[in-house]
Amino acid sequence: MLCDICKQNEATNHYKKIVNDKISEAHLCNECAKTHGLPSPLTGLSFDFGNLLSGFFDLPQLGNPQSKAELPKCPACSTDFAQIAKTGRVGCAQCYDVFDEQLLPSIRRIHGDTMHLGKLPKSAGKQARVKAELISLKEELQEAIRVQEFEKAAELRDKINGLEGGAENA
Amino acid sequence: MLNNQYWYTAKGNNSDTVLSTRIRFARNLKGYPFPQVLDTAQKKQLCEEVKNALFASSAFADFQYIEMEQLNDVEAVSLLERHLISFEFAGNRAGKALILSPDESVSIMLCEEDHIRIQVIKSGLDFEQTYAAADNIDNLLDESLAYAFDERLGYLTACPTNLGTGMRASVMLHLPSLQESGAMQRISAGLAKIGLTIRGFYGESSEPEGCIYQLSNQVTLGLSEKSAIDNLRNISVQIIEQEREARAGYIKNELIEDKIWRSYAMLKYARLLSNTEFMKYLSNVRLGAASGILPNLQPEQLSELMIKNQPAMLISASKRNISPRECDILRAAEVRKAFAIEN
Ligand SMILES: [Zn+2]
Ligand SMILES: [Zn+2]
Repeated sequence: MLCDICKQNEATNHYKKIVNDKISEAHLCNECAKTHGLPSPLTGLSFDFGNLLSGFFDLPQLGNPQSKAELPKCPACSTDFAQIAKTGRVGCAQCYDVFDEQLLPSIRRIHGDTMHLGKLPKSAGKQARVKAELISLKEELQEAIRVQEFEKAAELRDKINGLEGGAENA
Repeated sequence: MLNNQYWYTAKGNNSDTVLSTRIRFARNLKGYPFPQVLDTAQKKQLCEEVKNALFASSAFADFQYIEMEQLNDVEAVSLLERHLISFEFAGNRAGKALILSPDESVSIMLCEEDHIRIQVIKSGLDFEQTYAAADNIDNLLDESLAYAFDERLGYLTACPTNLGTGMRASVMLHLPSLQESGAMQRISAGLAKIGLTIRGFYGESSEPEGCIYQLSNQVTLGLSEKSAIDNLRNISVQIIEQEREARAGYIKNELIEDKIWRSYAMLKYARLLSNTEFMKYLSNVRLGAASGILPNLQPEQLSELMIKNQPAMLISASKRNISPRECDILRAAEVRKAFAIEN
C-alpha cells in the first residue's frame, strides 16, 4: 500500500479514527508520519488516549496535487500550488493572495462563507473596526427588539446612526 | 494533593458528563512564512521574538518557557497526555517552544502548524471563563506583536480550515450510555450539518477509547467567536441532557449495574492493567460514580486518575525507564492505592 500523502513510499504506519459518522483511515510512510508528528518516531509509548484530541490527518482537499498547471510560485515563500494541494497547508500569508482563485472554492466549501466576522487585531484598519462594531451593534439591536427593551433599542439605534455617519465621512 | 488546580484535578461544572472545555486561537505573525516553510534556525528566531515580547509584560512573569527539543519523548508525550500540546507538537520538536502557565490552564505553542497557538483548558463545562482567559492572552499578545490578518479572510492561518476567527472551541464529553445505545451515529450525522464535529478515537477496539468524545466547532470563517460558542454550548447542553436521560434508564438495568461493580472490582484488585483495559473499566466506574451507584467516588477524582495513569505520565512519575509490563504493574498499583483510600 502506498502512502496517502506522498503517494510514493510504502505505507508502514496505519491510523484509524472516527469523525462524525465516518471512520477515517490514514496510511503513511515513516517519513510523512514523522513530518506530521505522528507516533512512529515516539517508539515504545502507547497512544491509546492522547490521539483522541488531535486532528492529525485532517488534510483538507485544496485541489489536485498531481495538477501540473503552470501556476507561478508564491514570491514570498516560493511554495507552489502542487505543494499546497499535497499538504493542505499554504506557505505564508501572501499565498492567500497569490492563489486566491485556486483556494476560494475550497474555502467556500469548508466554511460556507468567505467574509470574516468577529475579533480584529489592533493592526486592522479603522474602517474594518467600525464595520465590525456596526455588525455587533445591529445584532444587539435585533436582540433588544426581540425582548422588547425599547429604551435600549433606541440607544443602540442612535449609536448605529452615529457610527454610520462617521463611516461616511471617513 | 499538593496542587489542586489543574483542569483534571479541579471540580468542574457538569462533571458527570463533561471532562473539560478548551478554547484555542491560531495566530501568525506578519513578515514570517508559516512554520512548515521555516527551517529550525528560523523557527528558533521566531520563538525568541515571541518570548521577548511576551515576557516584557508582567502578566507572564510566572509562566514557564520550555524549548521543546530539550525534552525527551516521555516528557513531551506527558504534556500531550495532559492535553496541553498537540500530537504534532509532541512528535516533531525541533525549533519549537511552549509557554505554560503555573496551573497549566494556559499553554502557548510556538511554531506548531501556526506561529502561535494559544490554548486555554478548564475543568467541566465553562465556555465563559475559558473564552475570557483565551481572549485576554490574545489581546496581550496583540499589544506587542503584529498579527497576519486580512479583512476578508480574518486571521491568516497555515491551514484554510482555521481562517476567520482561528478559534476552535471544544468540550470533552463522557458519553457511555449514548454510545451503548447506538445513538452516536445519529447524533454525529446531524452535527456535521450544523458546522460542528464530534470525534472519538478508535484504539484497539471498535469503539472510542473510554467512551470519550470531543465536540468542537468546525466553521471559523463568517461566524463570530460568540456565535460559534453559542452554537456549541446549545448543542453540548442537548447532548448532555440526552446522555443523562439514557443513563437514567440504563442504570436500572441489572446488567449495567453488574458491569459497573465488576469494573470497580477489576480496578480495585487487578495486579496488571494495560491502558486500554484501564480506560474501559474507568469509563464504567465513572458512569457508576456519576449516577450514584458508587457513592464514594466523584467523577473528577477519576479524571485525575485517568490522566496520571497514562503511559508517559506513569513513566515520568517513576523517574526511570520502565518496560511496558512494569508500566502495567505500576498502573494497577496506583489505581489500587487510590481506591483503597476512597473506600
Ligand atoms: Zn509518504
Ligand atoms: Zn507564500
